[in-house]
Amino acid sequence: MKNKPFIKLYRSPRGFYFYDVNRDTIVGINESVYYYLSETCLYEELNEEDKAYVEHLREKGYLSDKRVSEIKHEQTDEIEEMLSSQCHQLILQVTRLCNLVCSYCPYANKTDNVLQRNHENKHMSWEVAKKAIDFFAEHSSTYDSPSISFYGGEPLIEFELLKKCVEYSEELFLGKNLSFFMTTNATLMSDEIIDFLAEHDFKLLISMDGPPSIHDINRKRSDGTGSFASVFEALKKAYKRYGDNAALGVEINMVLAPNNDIDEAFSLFDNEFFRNNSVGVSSSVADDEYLEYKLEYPSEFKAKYNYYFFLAFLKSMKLVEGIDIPEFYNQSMFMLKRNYMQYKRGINSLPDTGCPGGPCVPGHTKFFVNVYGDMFPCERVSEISKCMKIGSIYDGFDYDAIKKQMNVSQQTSDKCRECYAQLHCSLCQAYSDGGDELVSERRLANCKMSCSRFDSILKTCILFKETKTHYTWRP
Amino acid sequence: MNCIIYPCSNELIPFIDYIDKVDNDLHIVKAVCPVVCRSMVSDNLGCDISTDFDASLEICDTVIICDYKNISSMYKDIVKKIILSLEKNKNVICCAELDENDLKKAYRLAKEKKLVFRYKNKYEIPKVADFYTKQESVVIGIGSMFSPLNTDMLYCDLIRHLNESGYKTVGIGTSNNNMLINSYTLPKELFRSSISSDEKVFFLNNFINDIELLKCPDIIVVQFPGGMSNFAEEVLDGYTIDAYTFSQAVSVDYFILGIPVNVVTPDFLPELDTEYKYKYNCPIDAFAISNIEVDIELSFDLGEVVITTLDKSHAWNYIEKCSDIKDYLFCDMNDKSRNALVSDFIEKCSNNVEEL
Repeated sequence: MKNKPFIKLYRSPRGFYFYDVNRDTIVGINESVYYYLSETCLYEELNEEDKAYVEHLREKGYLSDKRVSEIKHEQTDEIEEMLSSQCHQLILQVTRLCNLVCSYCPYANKTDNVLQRNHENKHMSWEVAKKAIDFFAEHSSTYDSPSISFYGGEPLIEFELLKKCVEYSEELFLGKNLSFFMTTNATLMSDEIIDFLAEHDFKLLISMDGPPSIHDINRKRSDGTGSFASVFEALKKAYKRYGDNAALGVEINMVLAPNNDIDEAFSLFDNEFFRNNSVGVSSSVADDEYLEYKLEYPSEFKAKYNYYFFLAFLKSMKLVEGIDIPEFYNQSMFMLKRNYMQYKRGINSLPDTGCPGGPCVPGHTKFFVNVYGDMFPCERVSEISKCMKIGSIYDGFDYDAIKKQMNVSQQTSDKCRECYAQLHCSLCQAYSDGGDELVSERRLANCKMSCSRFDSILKTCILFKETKTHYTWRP
Repeated sequence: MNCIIYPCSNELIPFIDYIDKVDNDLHIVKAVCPVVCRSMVSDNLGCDISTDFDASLEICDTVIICDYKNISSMYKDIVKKIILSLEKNKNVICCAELDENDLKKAYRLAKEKKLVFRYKNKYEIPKVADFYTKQESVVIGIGSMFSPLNTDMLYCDLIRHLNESGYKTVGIGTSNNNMLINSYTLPKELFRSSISSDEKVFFLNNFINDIELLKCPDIIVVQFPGGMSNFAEEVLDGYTIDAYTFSQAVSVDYFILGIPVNVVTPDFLPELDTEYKYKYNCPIDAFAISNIEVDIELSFDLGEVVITTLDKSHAWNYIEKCSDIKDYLFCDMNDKSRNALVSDFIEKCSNNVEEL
């Protein structure tokens, strides 16, 4: 086929489809056209109706062979202007100390400062915190809704510093819609602390992996005792104190580790507290990016995880009633439906200059300041890696480093330009972290994972479509 | 009265402009904003800008507390400033919502010190609706295609122009700052209440009619609340519910729709006219183009309509390009164009308006 279209073909038990990269949309086709596009049959072998349909698709802008000519992030040239006044969020590492030693935590002495820094008795000074907040105020001057997040270690270890930061920020940002966020293990949340957090409208993310039998496997104090009891107590108190604002202000984050039984983890939601309150729940599998060993998830774990996803799908498509599943699965359904709408909408064409969707714009959506005042794009990258640093509160933003991170896909431009998943790539710059510099090998090694994730989303969108059109019978 | 305004923001430009140009008892000597907001406030506010409230207090006899989109995050500060102003023997005009206790405290303090404390009239939802009647006065309706698109400049300017032209004009707008221009604010509590839609329409109609009885204007200029066009199914913009409810309560004689520049095409605007004619019973007499563009991609990403402000000349350039439908189009940011809009209105509604 001349001018081979830039598409990816899919087939389901009920139909044939292609994902058009230039239009960022999924198109349903018949079997003959599918085989033609897969180059199994020639154009001449199509009947007149199919030929007309293929031409119609071409007229509408589908089946183009266009590629991006130059891999360059569209905001590269504007980045200095953007970061001068449009930064959205500051994340402050108020301490590197933690009172827990969670087994999957990359900071819990896992890599001996090789891949990621360890927990240590280092705290942010008020001078550094104030300078960071002042820097943020200056660099968010035309942004109306700035936010400040507190991170650690366990941020509540430095509650006095946190209080000072909040009171200083509220005065400094008077007139703006300022909000505060915090991720915490909640083991140190006294009544006084909860009052303070509620009064200042903090959005809390409390780590809770499941009922005691699950939570206490991995989330232990240094003396080996589990932390569930104190965390649950704090959660209930916070919910009561937040009152009507609890649903928006207090959420839990559940980390699913390979040694967790998923059914048992989710049995947390059978507890009366969760039954009577609509607690927001987010979930993630344990991240092994900065661990020396890779986490191996048993097949039973994967099967159960996917089974819950399947139940969530049945529930969202109203195919079965009365299914009880954790809330975050409903959230993931919501996101998938949003993707579905996006693929229905599509775009006109790939731009001439563009880049894969993975890397963020460092500093714009957020920037992370560690105890020393060094800046990074977020709290999840390695603080040991020279190539991840984007400046300091003393020297300002390092725009060269930022541009390198934004354009990390230039290192793999030949591959990225040909990739059908480029618009929805999930590989951020952290996947190119080679310590002193950004490297392509790690990024390429994770390509398959990103494409596989994208395939999964597209296939679910196709399933949405087919469920709506084919499964019309309801009991 | 020599006044300072707090907290000032770009939202106030239309109102400051009105106060400046109309002969009234308010003379704004300074606009004050919090330090961190200074870079967001335009230098063309129409008066000097300061970030020092205490120093500005020395040079005025009245403090105007304006309503502002982030006022809820500044509430304690606002109350503190009201009390401070009264304690320093300054009159206070307050457009922002105050809690019952804070309001009583302010009134008490003002009474003790024999000062003026003017507060916006609180709307109470009536128990029983009066009967529904059409307005006798000529009604100009101003709507926004999408809710972030602000039509306050057009609204304030139109009221001023018509008053200067000799027509007694009163406004019913969406901003709480309407009391600064001797106009009224639409009762938001009515839209948010849980009463039936029928009752909302009746009460809104009564609200407008009561103002008509009180003021006996020749012309009433009303602003429609919220956006009037759906952006997309998955992008929240109120789904035009408030605008539709309001359209049932008022009979509009001349309707102006504020639109962003990126919808101005010769084909699209007549279609919009037809849609509004049947949906709101408001055929569009004029389009007022703002120097605003809808960021389509970001709107879909965030699930809400996001706009970008452009250079002033943009809107005018678009009008120049659409010569076929030029008669429909007016530039919200251009004086000459606004004058033309007023003339167009007077010409079209001259049968209704009592000639002086």
